[in-house]
Amino acid sequence: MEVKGAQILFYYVLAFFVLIMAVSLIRARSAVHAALYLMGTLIGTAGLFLLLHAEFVAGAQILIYVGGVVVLFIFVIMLVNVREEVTEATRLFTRQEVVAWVLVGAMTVATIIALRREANLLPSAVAPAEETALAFSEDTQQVGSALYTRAALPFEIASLLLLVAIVGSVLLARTRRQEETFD
Amino acid sequence: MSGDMLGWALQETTSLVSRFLEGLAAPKGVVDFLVLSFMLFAIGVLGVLSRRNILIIFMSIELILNAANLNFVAFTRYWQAMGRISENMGHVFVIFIIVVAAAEAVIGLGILIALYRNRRTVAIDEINLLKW
Amino acid sequence: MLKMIWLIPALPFLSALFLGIFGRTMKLSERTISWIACGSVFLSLVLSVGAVYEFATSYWPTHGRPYLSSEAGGFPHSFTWVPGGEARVIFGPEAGKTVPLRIEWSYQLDQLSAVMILVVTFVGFWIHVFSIGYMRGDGGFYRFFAQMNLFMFMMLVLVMASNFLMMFVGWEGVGLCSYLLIGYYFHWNYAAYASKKAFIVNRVGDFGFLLAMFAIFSLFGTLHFTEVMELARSDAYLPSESFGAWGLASWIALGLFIGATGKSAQIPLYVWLPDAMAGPTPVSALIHAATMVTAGVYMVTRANVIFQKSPTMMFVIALVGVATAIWAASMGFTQTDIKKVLAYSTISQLGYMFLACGVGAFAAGIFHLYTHAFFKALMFLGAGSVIIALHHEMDMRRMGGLARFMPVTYRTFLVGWLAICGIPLFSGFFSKDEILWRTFSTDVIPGGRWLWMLGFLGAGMTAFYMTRLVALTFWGDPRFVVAGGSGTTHGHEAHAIHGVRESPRVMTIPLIVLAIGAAISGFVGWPKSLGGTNRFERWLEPVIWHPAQEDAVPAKLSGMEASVAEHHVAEYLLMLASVALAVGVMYTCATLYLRRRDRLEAIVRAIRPLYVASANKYWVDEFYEGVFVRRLVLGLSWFSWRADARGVDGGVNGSAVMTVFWSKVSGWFDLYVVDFLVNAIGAMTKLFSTLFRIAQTGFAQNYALVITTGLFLLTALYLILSW
Repeated sequence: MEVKGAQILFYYVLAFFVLIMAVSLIRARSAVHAALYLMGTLIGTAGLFLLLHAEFVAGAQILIYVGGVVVLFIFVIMLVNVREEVTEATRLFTRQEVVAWVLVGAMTVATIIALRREANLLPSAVAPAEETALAFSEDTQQVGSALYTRAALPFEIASLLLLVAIVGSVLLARTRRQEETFD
Repeated sequence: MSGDMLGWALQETTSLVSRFLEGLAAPKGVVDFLVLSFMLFAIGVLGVLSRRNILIIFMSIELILNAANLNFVAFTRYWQAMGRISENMGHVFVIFIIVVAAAEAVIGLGILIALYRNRRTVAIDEINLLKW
Repeated sequence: MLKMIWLIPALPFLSALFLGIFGRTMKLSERTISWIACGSVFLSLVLSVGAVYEFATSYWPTHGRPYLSSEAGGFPHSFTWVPGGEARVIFGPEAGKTVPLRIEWSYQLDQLSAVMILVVTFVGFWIHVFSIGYMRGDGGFYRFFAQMNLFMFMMLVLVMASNFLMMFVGWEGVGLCSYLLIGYYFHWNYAAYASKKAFIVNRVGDFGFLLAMFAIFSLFGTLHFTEVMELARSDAYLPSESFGAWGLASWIALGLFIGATGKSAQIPLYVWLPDAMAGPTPVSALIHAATMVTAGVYMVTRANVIFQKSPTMMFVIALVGVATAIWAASMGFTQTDIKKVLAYSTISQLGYMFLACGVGAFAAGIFHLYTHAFFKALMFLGAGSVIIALHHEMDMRRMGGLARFMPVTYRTFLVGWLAICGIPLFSGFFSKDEILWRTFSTDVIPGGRWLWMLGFLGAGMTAFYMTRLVALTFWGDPRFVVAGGSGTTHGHEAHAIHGVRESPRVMTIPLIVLAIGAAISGFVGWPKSLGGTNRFERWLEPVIWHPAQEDAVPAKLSGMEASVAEHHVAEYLLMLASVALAVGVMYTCATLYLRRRDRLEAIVRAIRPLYVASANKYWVDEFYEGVFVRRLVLGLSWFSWRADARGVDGGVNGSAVMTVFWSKVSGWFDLYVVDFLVNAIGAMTKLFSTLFRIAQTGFAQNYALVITTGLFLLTALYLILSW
């Protein structure tokens, strides 16, 4: 499944973009900035999906994640309205920052080494599939049909889950006055 | 002697660099995407473990989920490239992850709002009533 | 009526039971108690009279043997008391044979027991009536009568028993009642001491009795009177011994006689009787004059077959009897307590009864028992009357001249006095002279004449001390001080006489009845020499064994008649001598004590050592005390003390020490082991909790960190393992 040729450039650009966005996210001072960085990360990831011929997923990512979740985050930031972080005095990181760095660093090193080794064991493309660049990607249709046939049950459960989430969130975020009114 | 050492060092360095540059230009296999997704994951974990602001923690969690999504998609592409054209459960799974992530973010933020209303803070180390 | 003889002991027993158990709790009035107590004895008297009458008129003529209540059936007439196991006969012709030790509780009515029950119930009844007056106002009224009735029961069991063991029950029972009644005033130290003394001395005698009983059973294989006396007659079981020989019969007789000595106060076991006067006077009258003390004589007469087999023992009995008679009489000369004089008099008269038994005149002994019961009980009750009238004064030195104040008491007492001195026509004359005559003329043992002489001397002594008593108490001028009076004792002046008057009728009527008895009871024994038929002796004939007569050839009858006629002369002479002696002594004594006091004092000074010895009872009590009692008591008490102090206290203290020690150990254990463990658990919990709570930071990211670390470790593990 190799990304050959000119697409390698896309890979590197998108990869760096995502990583920089991610690092900026965790080092952001203001929550709004962080939300924006999140949005950047998600868009970058969507690009990577596209590179990997997952068009539907990329679309879904943009629509739901960026269009829904990030907007939600921004709204919540508005509601919570934390301003102290803008000042210098507030700490950004918790006391266990160092430990976290050490741990994550160790994890990364170990995993990357492991992955590199494993990479040799993966069977490479034996039968080079003649990829004909289609004008239209059939990914959407395939995913759609899978959702309605093989993955029908999880699909329904997912919808139920969303329902629960909607009701739950409304309940959780009620104000006192709202509770008194409706109870 | 120092001349040999230097020469050997130079040689080693150049071979290393050339190998690196070769690597850079090589076609990217699934492992590269895995490495990338792991690094995203690591950054996400770092954020979860070390930031004080709960909102940013949530966002870091989204990062982690994204890394998992990337993993799935990479492997789906890999299997499809290997010959199993109809293997698209990875995509389906990604859809579900997105759904779950959204739901979870909704609930989490709802809790955050309720919490904020009570404690007037979103710093996680100030919400420590369970401390001994 | 004969079938109801079991009621004769049963009625007083039931009365005693009732009064004893309910007397205090039901708070019965004196009246009720009196009626119940005296009523039961009266009913026993009536039944006794009826039973004896029926026995004499219908049973004996048809059956010719003693009536046993087992003939009337089972309980309550008779029952198997000791079912018993196997026992072995040791001596005699049946040696080695096993016999069952089966004892029956049944009553025997024959001529001898008939006399006894009549005497006991009659005299007992009148003494009970007298006690109503004597014990009036006493707090333990019910107790007194309960114990008296119990005594009546025991005594009747004793005399109506059909076997040795049952008789022994009554024997011990009367001893018990004697103890209870002597110690009636138990708060008084002396009374408690006296009752103990009585019981213990009695017990010494009982030891001999028991040994004799064992021997009897080992020889005859039975303890029933009828069977024993039947077998004892034959030489096969109990060989007749000649005088001076000592064999089995002598041993048995010795054991029995030792028992009799204890119960009937002969030498050497008489010491308890004078001290027994500490009990109320009716007790002294009933138990220590008329009935209990005569049990020994009864027992000897009952077993006369055995005694007659051993002339040696008969001699011993006669000797002891007459010696006791004189010994006790000599002490009566100097006693100042009126009851003590009468006590010694009793001992002395009992000696006469044993003298009679010793010379083979068992019937005469019983005859004297019968008359003595009347006049001695009479005199005791009279003394009781005097004591009550003088507000419990017992010292004769503070009496005198009472004849004027207490006419009935005085006159009835006189009757008794005349009877005991042996004045003709009174009962004592007949019985005492019978004894003296039979002693003189006995051929059962040698030395009859000498024994007679001693008996004769004793009779004179009897007359002397009894006259002394009467003179000091009733004649002369009053020397008494009434309680609550001026309190000083003067020599011969009259003081505060107004407090002394005759006793009430409930007390004087018994005196009169007994006086009549003392007067006329002798007539049933009117001797042949004076023209009578001596019904008493003939009545007791079937009970007494006459070995000599069995050998006698009937053809010699005329010879016997002739010899009898010949003996009469001697008997008359002896009778005359006794009377003369009695009258003379009485007159002399009265004169000395009333008119010639100076003479009296001169005599006393002349025989001063004897006087002192007699007054001190010859120091016999002190001797016993020093030699036996002190050692025994001290030894036992020391031993008990040691057992108690070392053993018991040691045990108790030891257990206390152990408890303390153990408690200390437990405490230590509890403190250092148990508490340690418990505290350790607590400390451990604290330790672990202190350790583990560090993890509870309340800081969510910590938890996330931990999760991540765990994830990392797992992954590392996986990687390493699959490398």
